[in-house]
Amino acid sequence: MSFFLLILVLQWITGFGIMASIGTRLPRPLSIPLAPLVGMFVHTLAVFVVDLLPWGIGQVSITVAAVVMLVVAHARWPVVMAWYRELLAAPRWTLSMADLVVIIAGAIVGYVVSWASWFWPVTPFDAMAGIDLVARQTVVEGTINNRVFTDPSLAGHLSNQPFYAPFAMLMQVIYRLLGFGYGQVWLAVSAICFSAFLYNAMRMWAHPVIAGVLWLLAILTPEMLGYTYLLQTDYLNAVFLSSAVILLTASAEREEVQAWALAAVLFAAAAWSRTETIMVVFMGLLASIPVLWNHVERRTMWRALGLSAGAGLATFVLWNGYYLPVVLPVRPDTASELTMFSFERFGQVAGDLWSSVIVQPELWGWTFPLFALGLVGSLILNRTLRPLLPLVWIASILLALTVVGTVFTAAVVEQTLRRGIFKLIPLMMFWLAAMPLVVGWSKRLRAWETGS
Amino acid sequence: MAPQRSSLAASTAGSRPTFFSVRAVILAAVMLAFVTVLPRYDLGGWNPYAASYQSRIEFYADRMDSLVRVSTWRQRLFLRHVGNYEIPMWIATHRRATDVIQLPPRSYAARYLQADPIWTDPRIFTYFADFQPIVAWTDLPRRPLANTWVALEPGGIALVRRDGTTDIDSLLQEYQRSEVGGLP
Repeated sequence: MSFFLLILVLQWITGFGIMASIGTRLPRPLSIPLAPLVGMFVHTLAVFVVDLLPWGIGQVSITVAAVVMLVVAHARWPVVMAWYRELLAAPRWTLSMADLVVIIAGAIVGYVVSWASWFWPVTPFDAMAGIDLVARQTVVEGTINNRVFTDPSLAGHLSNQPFYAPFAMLMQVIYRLLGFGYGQVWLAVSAICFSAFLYNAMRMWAHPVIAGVLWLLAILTPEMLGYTYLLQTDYLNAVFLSSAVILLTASAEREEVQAWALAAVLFAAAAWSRTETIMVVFMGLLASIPVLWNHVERRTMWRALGLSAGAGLATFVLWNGYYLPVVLPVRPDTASELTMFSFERFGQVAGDLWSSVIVQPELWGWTFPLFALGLVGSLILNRTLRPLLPLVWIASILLALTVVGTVFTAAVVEQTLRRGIFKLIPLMMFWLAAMPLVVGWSKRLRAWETGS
Repeated sequence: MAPQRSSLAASTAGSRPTFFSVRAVILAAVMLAFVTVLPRYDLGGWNPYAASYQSRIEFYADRMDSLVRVSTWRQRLFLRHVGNYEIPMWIATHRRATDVIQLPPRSYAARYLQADPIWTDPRIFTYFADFQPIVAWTDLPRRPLANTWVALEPGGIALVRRDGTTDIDSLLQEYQRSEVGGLP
């Protein structure tokens, strides 16, 4: 337990150090829950580097890697120190009684999720046949390049499962080395951190009661809820991608937020958590250009978009362009799973995605109807769809998912694309919280509450 | 070009409400009503959150005390995966040193296991029972290496070899027939 806490604290502080070093300006309610997520991502990169060195992956080396990352993240000490001074300044509490109710309800869910991720063994087929199979053997042999990829009994049977998610695989390695029989507890850590981040992000725009309602609807979304303690890559991917988009939006919309570079780090984490995400990142960044064009300084915009594209591409290439073809003795047979793009198939996938996935309230609860209502209400009553960034990302994600379903035969609509929708849920709820109609209601509610 | 920040930036900032006031209590009560209704009441099929919450959170919350008594990692693996865990473990502990085991097709195993018999996949077999000398059913080039086969019957399992009493050829035919017949 103390080893787990040590690594968690090291990751957390590393996250703070990185935020500070790259010039992030972020309110504490956002930076505090985001720091462990950044730290986890960076720690997996460090463990990956350890794998390339002759020492081998073990308890000592993952701890040394975490300490080295922490030191490197704090290398610009004068800058970091000034940042910590602000972080540790006396807080200005804005907690309301309604917040407490929401936090207690969320804490109950968080407790059960933590327990379930600790208690239950790894369940999803994809994880047992892929990332956790590799992770378990990595713990035994001290290297990712292990017997899973060379044993004749598995030759030709690996499919693509062991290859597409280095982040989750390395987190499994770290947490198995920490002594958790099934790894997995990091799922709860990331779900809790992301949920706290999302709540606080919504609260920046909306009244605590409205933010609380939307947040509870987001975290209790039926299909997503189970994946907070099931080892799959999609929830994690949604965590990183939607956090990055929320930070982009906040950086563009709010004076007190400057987190363009941090968004780039999170895009890199998203591409590190699922291979095909690089396509979503590029499509979303391209679609962001017209939105940001008249909204932020051009130089800032190009730097932000370039940094995000570069960071996402870097982690993608590190794994798919270097490790898989150069280091591992076998490669995923991706080519055999690719098919030519055709508009007919695209239309069929889009139709299936709509009928079998999107219009299923037992999967997504009220998210899609509320979002549609929000769009119509905002257009009629406010004649605007602002903030536009989450919307262009939602459209980009949908388009990218449909393209993936069209060209990858292994991407089944009812499974792969269904879980891909996870990326949309936090963004839709965040957009609802930040749209002018809700902001207007929030102001009126706040005025009533304060009697002003 | 100067940045044009959103007019929404002001949002809800401004006058700060006190933590305790009659209106704060009213808002907290509204919130309490929402967090009570959302995870508990189906509302005539209009609330899909209730069923999901009950199966994914409340179910475990209610059974936490009894489930925690299942204390070993192995027991929990069995609790979750049942036959898919038990069969590979049984095969790994009962095989002879010289055995090379032919895994049966999934369709054959599906006739004897209520759950989807994913243990017939060599990756899942290895995940549960570690690396063993096995040959996947779909691994045609390595099939001749196999010298031991898995015979299933309702509630029973056996490793059968050429020197035993089981007719291996008819077992292999049964494997193949199951594939033609497909999953039951």
